[in-house]
Amino acid sequence: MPDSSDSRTALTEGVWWFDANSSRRQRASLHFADGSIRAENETGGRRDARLTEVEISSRIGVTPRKIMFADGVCIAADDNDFIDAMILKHGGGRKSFALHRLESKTATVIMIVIGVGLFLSVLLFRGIPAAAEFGAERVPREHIEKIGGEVYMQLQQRKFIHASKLSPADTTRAQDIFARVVAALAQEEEDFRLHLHNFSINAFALPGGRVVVSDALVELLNDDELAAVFAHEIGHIRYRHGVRNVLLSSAGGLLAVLSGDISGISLGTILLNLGYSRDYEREADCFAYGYLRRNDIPVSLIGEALEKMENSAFSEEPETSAHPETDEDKDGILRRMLIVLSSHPETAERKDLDAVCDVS
Amino acid sequence: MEDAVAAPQSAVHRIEFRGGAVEYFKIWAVNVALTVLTLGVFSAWAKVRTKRYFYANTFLDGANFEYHARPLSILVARIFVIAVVIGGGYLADIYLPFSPLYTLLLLLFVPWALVRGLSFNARNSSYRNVRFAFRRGYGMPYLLYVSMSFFIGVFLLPWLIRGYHSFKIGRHRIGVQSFVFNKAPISPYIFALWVLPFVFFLIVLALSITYINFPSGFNGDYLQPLFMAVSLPLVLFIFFYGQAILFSMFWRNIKTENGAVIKCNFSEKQFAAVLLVNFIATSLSFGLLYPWAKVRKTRFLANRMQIIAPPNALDEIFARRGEDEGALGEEFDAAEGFDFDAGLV
Repeated sequence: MPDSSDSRTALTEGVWWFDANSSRRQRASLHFADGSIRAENETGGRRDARLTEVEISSRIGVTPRKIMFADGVCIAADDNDFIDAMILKHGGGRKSFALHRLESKTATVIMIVIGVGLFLSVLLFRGIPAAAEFGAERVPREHIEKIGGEVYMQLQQRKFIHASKLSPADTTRAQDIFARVVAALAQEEEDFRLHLHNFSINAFALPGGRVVVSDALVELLNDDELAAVFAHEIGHIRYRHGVRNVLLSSAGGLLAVLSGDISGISLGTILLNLGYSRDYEREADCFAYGYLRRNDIPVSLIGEALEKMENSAFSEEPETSAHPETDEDKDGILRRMLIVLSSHPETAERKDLDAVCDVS
Repeated sequence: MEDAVAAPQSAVHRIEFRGGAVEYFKIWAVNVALTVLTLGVFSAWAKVRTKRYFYANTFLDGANFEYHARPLSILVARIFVIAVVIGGGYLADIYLPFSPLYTLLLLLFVPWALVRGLSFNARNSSYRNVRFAFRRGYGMPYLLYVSMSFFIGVFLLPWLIRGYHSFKIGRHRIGVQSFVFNKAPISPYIFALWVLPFVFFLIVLALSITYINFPSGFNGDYLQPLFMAVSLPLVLFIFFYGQAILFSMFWRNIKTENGAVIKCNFSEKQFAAVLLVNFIATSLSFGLLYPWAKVRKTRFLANRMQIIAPPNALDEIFARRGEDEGALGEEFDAAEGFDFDAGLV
């Protein structure tokens, strides 16, 4: 513990002198008096300076303290406590050992570890999603439409989705239902369009208003079930889930970079990404739920539609996979969007919407 | 494998690491806390503090190493990296046509930054008051980065990495004493960079197929996690074994002009086992055992590495004046994962 009442003024043990120009070292002694410091080595060499003219390294653990004179001569001293005491007594700030004080008290450190753990948890689980939501709401509509358009083009170019093979009758049916749902939801913000394509049994929403639905889905579901799925997808667009997810992916990585040494954080962000998807699904489900209730359509249809999709998906060939996350390719953003924005037939809890959603 | 050969009548100098897990844990905890509280700004100070701790606790022949970098330089470099690399990456994500431009930007920037980083770290490291230095050259880093960006890099990888080791070692010096890369055979590089990854891939494939075809039901529920618990460490060990070989090739083949060499008294498999246990401990403890793991690794290496140098060589390293430069690119030396930061230079 540094103590300014330490009566010693000289250090003769554990002191080494290093010349400026070579690695040769010799034993030395240090003397402090009236704000100045003197170093003397065993061959008669000597340096005098004011304490303000030398550079004293900050204390770290019990490692030797280094004192640099202006001409490059360096003194190494093992007795850190003595150096600290001299700094206090002869002028020099606490700065030199402030961090060391913090690092050496075990109780403080334990509290710090717990505190940081809690803080990080709150930040990751509440702060970042909130920030992404905030950011997503403020992205201008033109940018969102541009993103959506880009992604749609990429999906077609990279053959994720193929030209529709649906019969004219079914096409008209789907478009009519879609128009009805859009009108009923009275969403004036985005420009909603239905695109029918040939791919696995699925539907997803792209930022900007495009709802992409597969032929197989239209053939599989009846009118009311289809309406429920459309309402769900429109919900994704309305809440800007795609944009939020883009912001989230970058935010998680950004935090990991900023915090430098923190290990284990990448694991956390991966876990959280799954959680975000579930929250999005719930939001979109509740949005659809609202529509269904207002139009006297049985709410259970969401669940039933999902079940139908799930049963069909499992009987499909592996190529037309309803789970795009199993392959990895360079278009990570496309994959992420497909996962987040598609009607993912996953958990049974999605059928129990009465409990989960606000009845409004 | 032939190690570099030392000059006759050389003395053996031991390396000693005097740091401790508990002591470092406290430093590390404070680092993390302050970094989080300052939203990352403190990370530069944390990095310097960590490096100083490991350098200053590493003693060669009774004298320790020192790290002198100014945290502010590192902070500026990090902010620049965030702006360019991450900001650009984010833009490329959102606006896809920007992507090829971003690739080009990285192509120009990363190798340059790597070299500046090596230079920065070298001149901010010292032993017995004599600074290290790195003579800058950009050919090898650009070659490496460009080849890796296009698939061709994979076919040339052993030669590229050996060339990189030679580049890195041959341009470092302490004072006026230059380092030299001993002529290392290519076979360990081929083994570590081709054979092992291939074996790794095969095993992962075999394990995945086995895993998928596991019987479901009661037995399956117990077998699957057990299977994972056994097969994951095996697969990881192969990964760390490759890393250990590359580490070993780097350090064993360092020579100085006046005939000093480094002796590594450990097998690559031993080192790989240390890395594996460290990784498992760190992962299972949500990172809390990271300080312990890092100290453990450093102590393992320090205890088993020695400098064998001609008499008085350590006393006769003469300094040389070098010019001052900025710190940009310092980050990239930490990011390139071929060499380990063992607290040794």
